[in-house]
Formats: sequence, C-alpha cells, structure tokens
Amino acid sequence: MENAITQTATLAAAGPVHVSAWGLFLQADIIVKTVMLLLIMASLWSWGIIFDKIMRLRSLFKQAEDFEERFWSGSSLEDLYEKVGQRPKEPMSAIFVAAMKEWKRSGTKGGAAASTLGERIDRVMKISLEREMDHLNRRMIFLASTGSVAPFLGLFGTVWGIMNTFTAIGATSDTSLATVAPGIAEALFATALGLVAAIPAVVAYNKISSDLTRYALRLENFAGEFGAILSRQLDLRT
Amino acid sequence: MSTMNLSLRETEGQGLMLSVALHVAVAVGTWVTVPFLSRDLPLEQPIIVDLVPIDDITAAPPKPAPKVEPKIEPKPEEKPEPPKPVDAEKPSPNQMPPPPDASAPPPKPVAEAPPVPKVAPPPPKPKAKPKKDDWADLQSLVKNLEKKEAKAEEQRQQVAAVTPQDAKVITQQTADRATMTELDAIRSHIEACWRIDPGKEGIENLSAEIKVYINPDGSVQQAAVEDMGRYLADSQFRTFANSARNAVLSCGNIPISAERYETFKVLSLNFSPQGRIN
Repeated sequence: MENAITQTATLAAAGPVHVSAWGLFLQADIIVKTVMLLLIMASLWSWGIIFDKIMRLRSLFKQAEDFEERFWSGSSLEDLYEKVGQRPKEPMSAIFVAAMKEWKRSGTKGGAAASTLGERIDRVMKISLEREMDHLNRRMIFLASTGSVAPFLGLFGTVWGIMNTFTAIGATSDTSLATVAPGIAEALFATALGLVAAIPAVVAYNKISSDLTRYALRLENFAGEFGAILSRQLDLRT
Repeated sequence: MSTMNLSLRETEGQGLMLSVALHVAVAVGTWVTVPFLSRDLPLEQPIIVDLVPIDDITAAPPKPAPKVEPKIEPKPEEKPEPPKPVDAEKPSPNQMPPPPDASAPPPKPVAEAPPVPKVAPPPPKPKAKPKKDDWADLQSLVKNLEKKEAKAEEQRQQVAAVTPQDAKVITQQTADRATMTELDAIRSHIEACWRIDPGKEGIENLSAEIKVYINPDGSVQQAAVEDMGRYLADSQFRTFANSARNAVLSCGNIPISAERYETFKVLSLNFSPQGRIN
C-alpha cells in the first residue's frame, strides 16, 4: 500500500504523462499487454490473409476467363487437353483435366462401361471442384473468428485495465484525473486495437466469401456444361 | 495439385509481407500525422504556495476541519477521566466507615491508619489479615495507577498518531483548492513584501492599481502606477502607491511557471489597505 503510494507519487513527479500509442502500450499491465500483442498479431495475420485471398481471387477470375475463352474457341478438346497438360495451374483446368483423364481412360478400354461413364465423369468433376474450393476456403475461418472475437478480446483488455485503475484509486485514495486518466486511456487502447483488427476482418470476410461463392458457381456451371458436352460425345460414340 | 500448393504458399508469403508493410505504414503514418497520439499531456505545474494565506483569501473556511477536531478531542477527555477515580479513592480514607465492610477498601485505612482508630470497633478484624495484605494491596493499587497512567499515555500516543493523518487530510484539501489560484500565489508572494502603515489617516479609503510587467524568469521588468493623475496630485495616494510599487519591485522573482508565462506576462494588481491585493 505504501509502496503503491510512493510509486504513484514518483510517477506523478516523473513528468508529463506520455499518451502516444507506444507509451500507452508500455504503461499497460502484463495481461493488457498480452491482449494487445494478440490483437496486433491477429490484425497482421488477417491482413495477410486478406491480401493473399484478394490477389488470388483476382488472378483466378482472370485465368478462368482465359481458359473459358480457349475452351469455347472451337479447337478440339484433345488439343486443349494436350496444351493444358498433366499439371493444371488453376481449378477450372484442373476440373477439365480430371474429366478428360476419366474420359480417356474409359475410351481406351472400349465401350464396355459406356453407360456409367457419364456418371463417373460428373462425379470426378464434382470431387475435383470440391477439393479446389476447399483449398480456396482455407483460412477464411480465421477472418471470421477474428471479426467476431477481436472486439471481445479488446473489451477484456479494457475491463482488466479499468479494474487495475480502480484498484490504484483504492490504494492511493486519490481520485484526481491524473491518477485515473492514464490507466483508462491505456485500457481503452485495447478496445481500439480490437476494433482495428475486427472491422477489416469482417468487411473482408464478407467480400471474399461472396467472391468465392461466385467463383464456385462459375466452376459448377463450367463442370455442368462440360459434362453435357461429354455425354453428347458419348451418345455419338455409341 | 502440388504446383497449386506451391503458388498458394508464394502468394501467402506475399500477402503476409504486404500486411506487415501496411501495419508499419499505418503505425508510422499515425505517429507522424495524428498529433494527439504522440503529444505529451500538459502536466499541471505545482505552484510554490504559502498555503495559509491562500487559504484565507480564496477558500471558504473548510467545513471538514471543525468536524475532525471534535472527534479527536473527546478521546483525550475520556482518558483524563480514568485517573480521576484514583483521586476519588484517595479521599475515601477520610470517609472511613464504609471501608471495613469491603475487602478491597481496607488497604487505604491501613495506609492512613492513625485517623481510623476512633472508629476502631469494626477494623480490628481486618487489621490482623490486612497487615500481610497491606503491601499486596498497596502494590496492586500502585500497579493500577501505573496501568492507568500507561493507558492514558497510550491513548495520548494514539491521539497523537491520529492527528497527523487528519492534518494531512486537511492539507490535501487545501492543496486541491490552491491549485486553481496561481494568481493568489503571486499575490501572497508580493503581499509578504508589502510594508504598509495601517494606522495612517484615511488609508482605508485608498487603493492603488499597479501594472506589473514580468520577465520570463519571473523578475519584474516594470511596475507602473495606473492612476498617474492622482499620483501627482494626491500626496497621500502617492505615498501609498509608492509603497505598493516598492513591494512589487523589491520582492525579487515572482513565482510563475515558464509555460504559463503568457498568462501572467502583464498583471494588473490592485492594492488596498486591508492587506490585500486584487
């Protein structure tokens, strides 16, 4: 108790209270500090994911555009298959390759399993599509949980900091603004960090997940169309 | 698939780096462009103040003070009381008759035995036993006395221990009030240097306004009497105004803080004979 008093006394005498973001961080209690660090790391990571997803989605849409153009350009599917090769670079060509592989495999065997070939191709394409979408959806959950949890984490830091402040008031029995203000400012800083981390995460989550849905729809349409083309070919072949 | 993972990893690294760059940029940007985040709070400068005169001038008599004092005083009064019974016991020997019945009283009769004999009849019985008890009783009496004295002293010490705290409370309160009166600090500072003859005729009707120009270090640059016309015409006023001006000039550095210098650069102080400067 006496220690606390002399501490605050020396604090008050030490000079002007430093309210920069860094100063607030340094003054904070260890738990509040941990909360702040967690929030900063969450913000860093979620922005990393946001940049990554946005860049990736943009290039995916562009590649899908290119591929569809080539697909519908009228050249034969065999040519396209050879051009794309065994190692597709993006989900749409991956679906195409998966379907073509299945088609070729049954084609070389002869028409024995022709009746079920269409079904199998559809299934292969669906599996390929799901796998690709699963890849694209990775880490989205982090954005979602950052958006919902970060404010609470910040609030926790604030509540803890304000508890400390009140304890300090009780210990020094001094309610002057100079005693109370730094603690509260430091506590509120935690909430500010929580909101800073959460707001972009929520906005980006909404935008990216709607883009992903659009992309998934596009892949499904392509798979459907390709399946229709292949089954027409199948009918012609038999 | 493997190529996809590879490309994914690459973009991830890119994204994280971009994110770090963004955060650093935002941090630096805030530091540079948002001044309120990096500025220091102005610390209220503690003023060098004589608390007593300031209290007299600016503050209404502190209400808590009278409450505090009565609380302390009753205790010491209670303590003096206990010793009294001891005094009361001493006179008791004179009222001899009752003691014989009670076993405790006997010691006193024995101690002051000579007067007792007249009432002799009852005492004899006690006398035989008391002789041995005499010393014990006396000793116990002395012990009681000592105990009471010790208690009283303890209580006195307690009171002494209590009062400084209360005094602290009071000074804290006055200190709170004093913080608003930087000007009062200046006034009391100058007032201390002001020599005035309060018995002079007609002096209670005089008041002189002095304009004081202060240097940044607190020294007085110039002190001028406002009402020059009266200063020249009225010799009484002239004497009075001169005493006021001398008070300002002779007082040495005026206690002002460097940050508040602009506020107190030029002061207009009104000297009136009630020992006050306004």
